[in-house]
Amino acid sequence: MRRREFLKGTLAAAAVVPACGGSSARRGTPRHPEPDRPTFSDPGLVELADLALETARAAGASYADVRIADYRRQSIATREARVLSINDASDRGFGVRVIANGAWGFAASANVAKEEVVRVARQAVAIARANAALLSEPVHLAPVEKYVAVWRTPIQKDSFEVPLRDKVDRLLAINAEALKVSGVSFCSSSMAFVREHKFFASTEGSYIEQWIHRCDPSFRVTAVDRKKNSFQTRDSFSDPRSLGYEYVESYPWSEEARQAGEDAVAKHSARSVEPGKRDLILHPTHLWLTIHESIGHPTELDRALGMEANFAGTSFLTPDKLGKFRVGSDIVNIVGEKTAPGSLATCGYDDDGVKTSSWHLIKNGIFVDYQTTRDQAGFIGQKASHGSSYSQSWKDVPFQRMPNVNLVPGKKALSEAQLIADTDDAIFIKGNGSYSIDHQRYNFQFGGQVFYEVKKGKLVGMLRDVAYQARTPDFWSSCDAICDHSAYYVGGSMDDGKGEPGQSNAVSHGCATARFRKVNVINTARQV
Amino acid sequence: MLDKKSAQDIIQKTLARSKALKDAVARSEEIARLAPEDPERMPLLGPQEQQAVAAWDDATASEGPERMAAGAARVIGAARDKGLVAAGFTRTMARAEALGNSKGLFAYHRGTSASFSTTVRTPDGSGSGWAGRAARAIADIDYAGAAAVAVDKAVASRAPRKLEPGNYPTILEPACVADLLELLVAGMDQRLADEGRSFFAGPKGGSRMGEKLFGKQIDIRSDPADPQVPARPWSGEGLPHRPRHWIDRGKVATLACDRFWAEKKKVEPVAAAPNYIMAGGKGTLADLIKSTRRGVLVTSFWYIRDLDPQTMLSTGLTRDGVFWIENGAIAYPVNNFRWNDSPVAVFKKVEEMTAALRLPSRGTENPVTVVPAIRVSAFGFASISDAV
Repeated sequence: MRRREFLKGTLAAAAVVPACGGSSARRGTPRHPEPDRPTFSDPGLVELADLALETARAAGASYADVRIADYRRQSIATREARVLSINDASDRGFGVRVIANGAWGFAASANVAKEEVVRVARQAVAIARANAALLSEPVHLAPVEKYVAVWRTPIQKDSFEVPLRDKVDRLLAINAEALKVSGVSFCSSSMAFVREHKFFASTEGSYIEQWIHRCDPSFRVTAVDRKKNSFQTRDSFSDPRSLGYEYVESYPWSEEARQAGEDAVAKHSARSVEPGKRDLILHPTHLWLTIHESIGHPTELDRALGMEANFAGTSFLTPDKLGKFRVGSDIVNIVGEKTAPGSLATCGYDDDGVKTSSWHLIKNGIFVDYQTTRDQAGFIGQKASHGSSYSQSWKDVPFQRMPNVNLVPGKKALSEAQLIADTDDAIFIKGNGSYSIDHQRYNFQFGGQVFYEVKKGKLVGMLRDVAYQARTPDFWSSCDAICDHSAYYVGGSMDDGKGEPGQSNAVSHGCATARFRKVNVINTARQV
Repeated sequence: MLDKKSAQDIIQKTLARSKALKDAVARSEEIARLAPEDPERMPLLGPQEQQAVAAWDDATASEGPERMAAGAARVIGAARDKGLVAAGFTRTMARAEALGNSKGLFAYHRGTSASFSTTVRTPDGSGSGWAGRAARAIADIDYAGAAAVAVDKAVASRAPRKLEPGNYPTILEPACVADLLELLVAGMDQRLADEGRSFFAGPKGGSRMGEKLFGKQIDIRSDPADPQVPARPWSGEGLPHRPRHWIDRGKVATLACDRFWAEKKKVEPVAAAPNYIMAGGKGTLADLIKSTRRGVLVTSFWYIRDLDPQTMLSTGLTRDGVFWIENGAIAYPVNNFRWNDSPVAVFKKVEEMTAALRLPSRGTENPVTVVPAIRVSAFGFASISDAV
């Protein structure tokens, strides 16, 4: 191996900013000494945070918060017997957010040092004052309790402590396993790991330090049939999780790689679907994404208020519909939460310093609540935020981002096998494929990874070229069965995009297999 | 402007004193030691002949937020005057990039860009209009012009009439064409074609290189020195971007090809282009509407995803201004649609085009495409979207 050649691919993505201010700062007396204060990783963090808050206040801010954070990201990509790339990057910095003259201001820097903290805090106030010139209504923050706390994702094995060799070997073994299946042409696989470490402090008196871990292993198998000039793919059913490397170690990779290979090959000879109104049984590896797009996004309050109108869009769930509008059948109950262990949006406190919780968005089919932040709750007459504020980095401003949004499993005992046995004629869909939904979240269309025909209570064969198209309230109103907890599974996405400039959020969606009646199924095969 | 030698000096001095960069190098070396041998490793490129591209505007790089704030205020004011609400985003960017390696390759480029987009809506949510602008220099961003378009569309799109899904003659504004162009060129890769896993795979093996896919009016090229959309003239590994045709009067003329695959297939290595310039016709959108007897006019697209990579069949929605045209004039607004169609099929049906301009599609902060508005004989609207 010629080492330097390999470096080219990795150095470009690696940017390490060393810790400075925190460890070198003199130990100071915190402004709000607490006898029961937990031990923070570095007392210098408190001193720097206090400096930011005091500077902002002295410059005229009525509220200020600061996040001093470092992020580590590692990713490995392979195809067949090759490692395509290994990226290992870390960055550190801080962001100061203030309210001055009733308007938000935000500024950030990678130079975590006292003089820079002072400069950036003043800059944030200056930006707030400039923003105030265009303001029609001052920002109002819902009250929050003061927290002094340390929170960590409960992991068993830190992914960043696992040698690269282990990760590379595991990925190449997945590819090799899939390639053993006759008819499989290619297999690519990857792993990505993230560790967020952030120290939050605000003028409300909170000091919160958190470590959040996420991992995302996946693969794709491709089967090419050159005689037919056709190719089929099958993506892994694995989902990203807020877990340590134990998730990677416990996942049944060999078994799934083999199955995925067989599925990709079988898709070539699967029957092309007949379009029309069909019953659907949706597996959680598929249904999570439908929940995300059709319920997760329209229950974001900033969208409903028009704040995201230029990009992400608005919402059909306008505030006048709160407590009245029927989104789904009586059995549809959907909760927002940031507390489920292993789910991607889970943390102890959001980026407003609000303790995370769980609440109903849809209750017995009725739209009852939104995802909110401190500066939004007042718009719908609520006295407290649901803790849905998040920023992807120290250098980005926090705003309302999706918590985990889950479909509550059915109370009556109903396994997936029983649901299939109880169904006369349907399509059973696993895995997420193509997905698209309009800017108010009415009209959506979803594909999948594998499709099976259900006839008289049995899976009778594979279908292809399937997508379904529906209007959100019609779709959820057609839900007539949700399996019990035995079929519950948590899917999710590491990269949910929103905002201008765009930010990424990681979010999970738990659900059990469910059935939907008479949904419009289309055939996606075309000649061009 | 900073010359290449001065840039090289500054970079070397920064490298020498930066602990962060030294740490990054150390970590990269460790990764390299641990990584297995790459059977497709190619030697580093040596010095390359780099074209200089004038992509920098001093005023855009040095200006504070004042002009952007004034632009935003103008749009908000124009909306308020008509009892409408506006949301939008404007930004400037100044970027300098340098690439060097131990074989003596050194490349340096810097560029600026400015962009603005706005969505103006009626307070009751019954009408919505969008407009966007992009340029190398902020002085060329016409905030007032974009605001006027978005305001007019918001007012004109109120109370849309129901139009059934189906195939209609359709005018796609530049924001839509930019999206379709990006879908098309994203698939133009030699290796994927040779491996049989793209639309550009040849029906009898190999690729579709040289195949006449479209009418001769469809012409797509790239040129880092294009004055409308100047771009970094080298790829991530330092391969120079030469001006070239991707679709030459309807024929597939280039597929991107990495250096390993190019050597294996004995073809020229070509990096994916830094910009795409689609040839237009003559006249403006107003002229194109005037020459249309009947059909649909679409302002912008939303949430495009592929449905079948084999045919490049994609799905998406219309957004913020869909109108019915009758006898050369906009007759009335109609509902939004979901569409399922392939850029290949769409570009085969082009009847007429306006002049091409650098205009953004929705959510593209720094568009790298120059596109016309086009009229196609048929576009596949699959279902109605109730969204406004």
